[in-house]
Amino acid sequence: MTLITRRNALKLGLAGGALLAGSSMAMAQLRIVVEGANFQPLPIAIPDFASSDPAFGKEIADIVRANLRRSGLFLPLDPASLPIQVGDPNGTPDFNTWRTANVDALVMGGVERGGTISSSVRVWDTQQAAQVVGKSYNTDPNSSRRVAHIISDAIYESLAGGTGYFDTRVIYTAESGPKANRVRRLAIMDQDGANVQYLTDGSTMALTPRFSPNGDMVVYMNFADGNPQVYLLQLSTGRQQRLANVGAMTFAPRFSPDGGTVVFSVEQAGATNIYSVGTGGGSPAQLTSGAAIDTGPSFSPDGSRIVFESDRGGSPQIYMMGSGGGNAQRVSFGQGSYSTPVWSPKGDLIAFTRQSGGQFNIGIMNPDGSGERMLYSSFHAEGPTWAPNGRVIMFFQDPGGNDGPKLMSVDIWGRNLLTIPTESYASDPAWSGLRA
Amino acid sequence: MMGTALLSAPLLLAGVVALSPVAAHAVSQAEVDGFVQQVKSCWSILPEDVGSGLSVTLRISLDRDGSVTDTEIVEVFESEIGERLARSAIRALVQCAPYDFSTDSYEQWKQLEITLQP
Repeated sequence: MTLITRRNALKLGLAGGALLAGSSMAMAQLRIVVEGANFQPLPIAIPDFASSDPAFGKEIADIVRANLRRSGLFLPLDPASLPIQVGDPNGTPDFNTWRTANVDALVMGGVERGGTISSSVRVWDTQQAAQVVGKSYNTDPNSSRRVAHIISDAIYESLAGGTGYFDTRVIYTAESGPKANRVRRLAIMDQDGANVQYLTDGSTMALTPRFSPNGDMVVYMNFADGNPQVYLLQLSTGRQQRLANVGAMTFAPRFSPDGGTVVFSVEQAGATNIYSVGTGGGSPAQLTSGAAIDTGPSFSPDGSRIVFESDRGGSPQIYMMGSGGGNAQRVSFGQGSYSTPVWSPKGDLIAFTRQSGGQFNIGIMNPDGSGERMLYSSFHAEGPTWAPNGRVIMFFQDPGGNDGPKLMSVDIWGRNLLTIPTESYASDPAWSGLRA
Repeated sequence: MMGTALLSAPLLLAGVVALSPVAAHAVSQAEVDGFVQQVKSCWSILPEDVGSGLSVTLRISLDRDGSVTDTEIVEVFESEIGERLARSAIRALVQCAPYDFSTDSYEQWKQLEITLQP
């Protein structure tokens, strides 16, 4: 532990108030310990962004406010209630005015659209009368929503720590039509539901899409060949190819953290085992063997281990092995059956689906299987995917009957349950990393 | 070790006062308890910082009306979490003022050293 003296507290920008150089404070007579704090979303003031086009400045600020509100960690104040309606990213705020309005965190931004979109943002701590962070960006003129997402990430990181997750996309299976004859095709959208595009035409079924780490490749289950087969799809070109020729059916694909390998399941002669293959081609390597059903593989973020689902012990449970295969150890020991394990990008947690007592649960556990806790319970919910900051999980929930599935999200503390708006039914979400 | 000198002081218990023997008018236990509850009601931290095991010690100066006139960080672990804790603790102490202490004992509470542990 490091003692922070007054001198280096000033350097860190943490010393509050008006300390005079060389002054010394008398020894405190009372020492009091305060134990226990609660979580409340942080009130934050975000006036509309300054811009020569005020409507554009408001549009960007609206997206930022919506992102931060949806994170559940912030409470953006009604902009109409603020002392000023339009921010000034270049000046120093009148801190007294904001403190009087009970505002602790203040965002001042500016945005101009020209050959590029140039933007800047400053986050202020009004109690400390200090800037927390200041950033500026130049972005593609067609990426105005991304500007707002990038700025949202900067604000989130400066006040909540870690990394943000707003400049990301979600790929999923879009479902439409009557339940008996549902059309399933791949769709991609921004994490807030905007900018939907359809990647396949629905003439054959497409399921379980998964992003590559660089966000340009997708692996998914394609039924065009009759039996499901894993295909690679390049988003920037639309080109796709079958990943491997092995077994009767291949499914449940996932990329390795370096994007060079795909692990997937192969059904052959009644058994399902896990294989890996390089994305550049080559012969698949078999990682598990035996007569059980081994599926749903997911790499650890350092690429050294794979967690997967197997019924080798009698019921579906979560197992872990080295990325070269072999010596799998069981890690799930709770009530019910476990499936769809997914490693957090931070490496500290594994998300999964658990079925017990007629209910589905979305849960998380430590990689050694300890600390299991359920985040959401429903008639039918499954298929978790992680936001890149390891704090939010998206999954799909199906209410049953003639209705269809929808995407939902929850944070790892079980708070902030949200429905993600999609124009069709939606399932099998996969969350991208932060976009480059 | 952080906080050892403070927390091993024989007269210091959680939420309770270490009194100076020369104070003619002493701050009461009830006043200290009220102060602690008031600060706790304002103190908000991120869910993931709740189990961090870290704490922050601040020294604050108060006016006779119980408002906070100055804050100083005495001790905090130098890290991103430590900075967040310090910022949230200062925010809580300043926002929750004024505090209700008897003016008779002002000499004793005009400066307080507060350790906040999530």
